[in-house]
Amino acid sequence: MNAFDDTLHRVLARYHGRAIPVRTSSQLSPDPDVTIGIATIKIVTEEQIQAIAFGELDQEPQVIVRLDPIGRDVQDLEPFAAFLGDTVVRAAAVDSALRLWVPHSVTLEALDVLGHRYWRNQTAPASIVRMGEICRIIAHEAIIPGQQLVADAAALLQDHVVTGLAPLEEGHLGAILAWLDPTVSDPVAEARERIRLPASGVLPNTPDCHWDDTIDRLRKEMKGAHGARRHLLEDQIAHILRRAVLREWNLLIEGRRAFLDLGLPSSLSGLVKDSNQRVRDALDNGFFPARSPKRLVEQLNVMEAGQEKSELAALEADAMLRDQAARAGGVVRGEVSTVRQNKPGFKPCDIEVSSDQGIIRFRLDDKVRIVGTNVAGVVRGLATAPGGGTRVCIEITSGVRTRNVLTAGARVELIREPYAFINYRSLGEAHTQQPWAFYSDSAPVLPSRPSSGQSALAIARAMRR
Amino acid sequence: MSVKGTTALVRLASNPGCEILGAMILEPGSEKRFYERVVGEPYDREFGERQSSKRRGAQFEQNAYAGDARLLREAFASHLGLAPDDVVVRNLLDDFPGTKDDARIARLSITRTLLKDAREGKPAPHIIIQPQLMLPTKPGPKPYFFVAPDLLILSPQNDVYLPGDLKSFVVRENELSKGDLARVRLQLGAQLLALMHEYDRFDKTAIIPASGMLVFSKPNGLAPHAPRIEDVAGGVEAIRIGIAAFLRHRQRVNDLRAGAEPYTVVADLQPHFQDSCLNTCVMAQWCRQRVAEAAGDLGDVAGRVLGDMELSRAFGLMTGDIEPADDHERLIARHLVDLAEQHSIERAA
Repeated sequence: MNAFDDTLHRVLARYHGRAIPVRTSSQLSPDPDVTIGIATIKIVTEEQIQAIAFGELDQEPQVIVRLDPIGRDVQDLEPFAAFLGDTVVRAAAVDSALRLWVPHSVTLEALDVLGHRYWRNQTAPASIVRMGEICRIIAHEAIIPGQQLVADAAALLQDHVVTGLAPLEEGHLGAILAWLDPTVSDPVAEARERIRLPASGVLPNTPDCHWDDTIDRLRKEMKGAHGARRHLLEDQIAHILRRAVLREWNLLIEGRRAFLDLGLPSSLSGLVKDSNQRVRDALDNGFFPARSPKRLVEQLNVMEAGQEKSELAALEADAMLRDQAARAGGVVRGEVSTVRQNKPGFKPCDIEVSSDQGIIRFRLDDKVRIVGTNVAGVVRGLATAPGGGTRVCIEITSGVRTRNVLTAGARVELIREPYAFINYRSLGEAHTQQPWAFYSDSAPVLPSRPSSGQSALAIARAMRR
Repeated sequence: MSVKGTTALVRLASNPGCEILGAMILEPGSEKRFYERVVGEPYDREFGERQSSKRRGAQFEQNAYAGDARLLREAFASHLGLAPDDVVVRNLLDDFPGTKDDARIARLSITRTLLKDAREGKPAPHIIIQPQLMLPTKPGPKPYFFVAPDLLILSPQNDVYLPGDLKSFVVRENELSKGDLARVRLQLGAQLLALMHEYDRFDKTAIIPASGMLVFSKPNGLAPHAPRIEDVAGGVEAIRIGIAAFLRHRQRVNDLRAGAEPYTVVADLQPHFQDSCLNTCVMAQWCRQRVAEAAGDLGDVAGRVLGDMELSRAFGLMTGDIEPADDHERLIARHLVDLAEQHSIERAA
């Protein structure tokens, strides 16, 4: 959404005192059979998780509180490791996709750091190493556009509604929820009051809720304490951490419920299949971060393909997004003015679409499709219409039997086809040849030879043959 | 955040239009105390660096400096083109520890000598730990800013040093978010500007590359990543703009206060509230009240789109109670009416 539209939505939200939806379709597929949630509390800067709540979303979560999160002993993480391992096995057994709900991106970062710490730790138990690997797989998949594994409640709400707050304030999940709760009469004041306490997977540390300082003090005292005194201190630490992580968990549950209550349909089967395949491959074969040029390019291509597919899937399913895209020329709306089809229902078939839009983003030979149909084609001509607007000539390549839109006078919306091709063969060849520009720190030293007396153009011509 | 030293310069560079910030820098004592004296109430939000951050920062530095800075020598060896054992390090905290002004001035004196020695081709360490630099803003109150990079690293290409900073927060794959990177680049910019000033004192021909170095922590323990070399030309320019703004604010505060403390004239100063203030400044809520009824309350972007328009005016344009005054307002009114209709229809459906 552009800045102008975003601002006007904020004005409207402030006027009505409620969040305004900005999508008519969801960018997240429905939850699969195996869906779990994780909420964490980390130590600021240390990035060590000191409490985790995890489990199925319709049940009370399991909670782990870590009395000494900086220590090397990771036994306390075993229940979490077992849960993650069991979840993965369960999903594979029932051939289900996986879905992980987190309250916000900080939880994902905490899991990624946890993964970095243990996925190759040779002194950790196998279950903890596997936990680290699964965490890395989750965090890696989360960076691929259009992925369907991780559902970040705060990000999803930010992408689907606009509130009367500043965008920066919408980073606080509790603040957005105030705008989605009909019982809140003054969401501006309520949201800003909620922002006083962080919703970012850390302990609050305000004058009226100084949990972080308290935990720090209790841990120091615990080091020198014994017996009953030590147990008392441990209980106090556990009590604070439990409350804090359950607060995060409850935010997650409320955020998910608020998102599902938007009731947005989704049509993302292609993205679900891609995401599920990537995750399944990594879980079965292990996580291998891209380091070599070939792997890095492959990964960038995968991300680019995901971006392209998810954007086009969203455009196809979402009338609001198409409205915005039409203003920028990304969607062309018009009327079929001419149909050239010698034999109805057969190729060759060309159509002309007349649009009022003066600016469109299509270029010659772009592959396009008609929204809501199986008709696709290639742009073969673009011309400015005499009274303004644009005429687009399209060679229909599929769906030539779809009579209702391949008829003069039919209203159509055109969007680009996603271009999501990863040329693995070329990348493989490049890898075999190991060009120095990618695989070496310096250019090869070529022996100097006397000049052949030929021009550079002649040499190039000879090489081409 | 603090309003002293490099942090003050970074904050000025981030919001040069804020006169309140200028007054806060001039006021002795903490930012929180400034707030409480202006508002007359205790500050009710989180303030200051957390204990865990302080502790990790100290441990990270201690670890990096241990064993004649073994980890730093290893980290910078390839950059310097030397074997780690051949890298010479001098830790100025060994000579004059502490943060009091006397110790800072003593470290400043040694730093100046070492910069000069290196420039004149005399023996000088490859890495100076905890050097001290100074940026003057004299004459006037607050006549200088102390700037203390964690490191100065001798550039292998010429005989000048570059600033370096140790960052104890964990980064994965040596990459960090754009926001964090922007902040640390400003920090390096302030350090580089101070360094340029120091060179300028004794050698106006010295050419200092617009670069600085950052060392972050790996996720495992306290091990440092390989140093990142950052281009900070933009950061240096932003700091220059920030200092120029500070000189203006100082003049204005001095004109108004007539010898009284800076906080007493805050009501007459011009705040410049922006979204980022919410994360960095104790005065953010107070300043925000000044734009509470305006478009700026919906964020920086809304402030740019709608300008100084009051929200009540925007509502009036939407409901038709207020006639648009110009083409811009007509455009806004038309789109707001369309939007309101679209959403009322959806609600009815």
